[in-house]
Amino acid sequence: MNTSSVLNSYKFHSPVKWWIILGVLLTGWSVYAQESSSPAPFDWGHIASARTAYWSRDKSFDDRSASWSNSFWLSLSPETIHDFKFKFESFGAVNALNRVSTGPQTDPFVEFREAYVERSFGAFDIRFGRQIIAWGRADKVNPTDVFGTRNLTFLSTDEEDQRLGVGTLQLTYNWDAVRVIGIFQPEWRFPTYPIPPISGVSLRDGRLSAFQPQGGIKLDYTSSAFDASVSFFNGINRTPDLEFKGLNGPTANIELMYRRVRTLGADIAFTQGDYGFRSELAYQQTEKGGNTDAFRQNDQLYGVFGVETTPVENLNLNVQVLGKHTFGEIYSPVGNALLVPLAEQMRFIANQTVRNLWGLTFRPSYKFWNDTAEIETALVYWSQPASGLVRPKASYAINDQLKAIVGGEIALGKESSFFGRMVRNNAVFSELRYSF
Amino acid sequence: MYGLNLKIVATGLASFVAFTAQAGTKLTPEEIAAKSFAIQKVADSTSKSRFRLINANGQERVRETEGVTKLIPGTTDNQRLVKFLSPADVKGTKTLLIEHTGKDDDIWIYLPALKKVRRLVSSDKKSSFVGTDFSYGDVIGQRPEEWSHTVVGEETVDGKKCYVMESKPKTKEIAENSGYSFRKSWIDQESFVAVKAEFKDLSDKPLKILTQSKIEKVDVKNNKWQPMQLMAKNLQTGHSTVIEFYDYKANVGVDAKQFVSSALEK
Repeated sequence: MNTSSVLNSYKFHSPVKWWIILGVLLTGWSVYAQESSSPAPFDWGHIASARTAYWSRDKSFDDRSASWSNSFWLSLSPETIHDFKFKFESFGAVNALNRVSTGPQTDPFVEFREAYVERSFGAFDIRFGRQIIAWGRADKVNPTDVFGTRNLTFLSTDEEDQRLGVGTLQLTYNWDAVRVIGIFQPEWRFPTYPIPPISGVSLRDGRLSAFQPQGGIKLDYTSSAFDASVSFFNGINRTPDLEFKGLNGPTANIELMYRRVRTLGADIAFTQGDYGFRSELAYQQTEKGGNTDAFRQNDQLYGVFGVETTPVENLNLNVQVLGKHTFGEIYSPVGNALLVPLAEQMRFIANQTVRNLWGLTFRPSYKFWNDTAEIETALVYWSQPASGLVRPKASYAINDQLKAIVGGEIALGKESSFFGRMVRNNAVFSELRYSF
Repeated sequence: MYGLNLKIVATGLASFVAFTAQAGTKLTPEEIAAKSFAIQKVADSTSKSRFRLINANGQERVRETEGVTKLIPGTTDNQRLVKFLSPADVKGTKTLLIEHTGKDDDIWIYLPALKKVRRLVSSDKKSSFVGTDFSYGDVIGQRPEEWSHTVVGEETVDGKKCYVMESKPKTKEIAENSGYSFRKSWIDQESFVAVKAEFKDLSDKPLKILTQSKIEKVDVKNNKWQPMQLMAKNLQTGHSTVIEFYDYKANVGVDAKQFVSSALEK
């Protein structure tokens, strides 16, 4: 899958139509609210920002791919109307790219992250529409984040902005400290990964219609002692398998196949004195079963255990140990020698290179000048083969509206490793953000 | 008749003696500290506030919040929900703080960018409250029983007759947790609000001056008072913060369901 196919999935015509429809609806709500209630101006609850960012490399594995990314973000949380709450969040971006493969080009796109309506009926809350569901109490690495869909090629100085909203019906039952959350997600949106080009291989998304019924249930508990949840998910795995679709001359056609999985998850967070603890565990059962297809992911048990503390004022340290156990045959035989490198890519994509894999995350952050400035470094390390990703970032709020951000995204490791594959995308970035 | 008048006079005298005895009863330093701690604890409240953060060069940043509080029934422990209204980059951020006497408080934060609630470590009371010159301990109040208090005199501040009280943390741990080794406070004898307080850091150097003004009686029945303007000035950095409360309402029947972490996501 190349970046142009990614961009094609954000064609203008459909989003623009929805912008217009939503604009009309929101205007209607505003007029209705103003006519029917107090003379106070209608509160749209808006947050907007205009951002201009420079990346020394985009995420296309192109050796000359410096990019300017200009975007406008808008979030609306209008005041409640007849007990209905609305949320809308979208951004439009124009990336000015300059790649070896394509030369200078401009790629505009629009993303609708969230557009939902919410209402409470006694102990029940219902939320319907496109929304972002972020599960998991661990720090940034979340094995139970099963509904999380991301565009990891989107050039963003904040990785949380890479999350994509998906059409979902969420029903929550609140019973004191316990919540039961049921999720039905009929919409399917392809996640996007930076996958390095493989010689002689054409890679594209497999066929999967936009209607893919998925569901999950979570039992969530919160108390003074601890917060915890157990969850179950039956839906599409956000990490793809690879499938050989035949040869087209010397080129092998490979599709990214998103298959169904079932995931049983649990998480917990609690504090003890000066320390906060977060842990998350997920068992993922794939459709692979007993077969030995080298291009399918295996079942796995994936856990995170972390601790955070503030040893001196404003300095926060967060350390997590990651562990993954892969079940079944990892190095299944591959009949066609041409496909051997592809089988290796499959293991890297799934990060199932050895039976027992461990890793580490470390995230120190320091705020100063009364929280107007912050420096942070996020480090992720995976063993066997050793590789890592370092993401240093510094930000300074020049005033209440204007913020400057500089940082980098640096992958380390051999080319045949989880993060080592990304070395060609190593980049520094800077951004100026005006919020209002 | 004469006997009746004598009885009235005697009763009146007794009442007068009782009244003067009560008025003359000297409160102990511990009682003054306890009254000062409890004086702002209304059953529940709603308010908006404007934070002005002013650096040594006079540059000003403004943050606006709305907050609700509710006492946990039968305790002096408060539950506080704060929602940020501005500036835009923190708008929608919510914090929930639940105090617990005798153990660590609970703090959760909802960050709109993360789309989820995080539980935070709460043992550290010396950290800045959202970048202001107030610490978390300043906001929730230092527990009086954890400090030793001495009344060293009486002075008039802004026309208010005040007890002047010096306080020291009872243990090293309490000192490290609060960030203070010493506090001198001027406590208004009418409202028991500390109209001024000076703090020293753990190296015994002057650290901060806190003033509270525009004091209003917000609950007549239960004799509760609230300063509508607070100022903290950091003497070491020159930075200061002014917090102004407006639309403050006490005892309005705040819904207890707001004070659960899951409500932050709504």
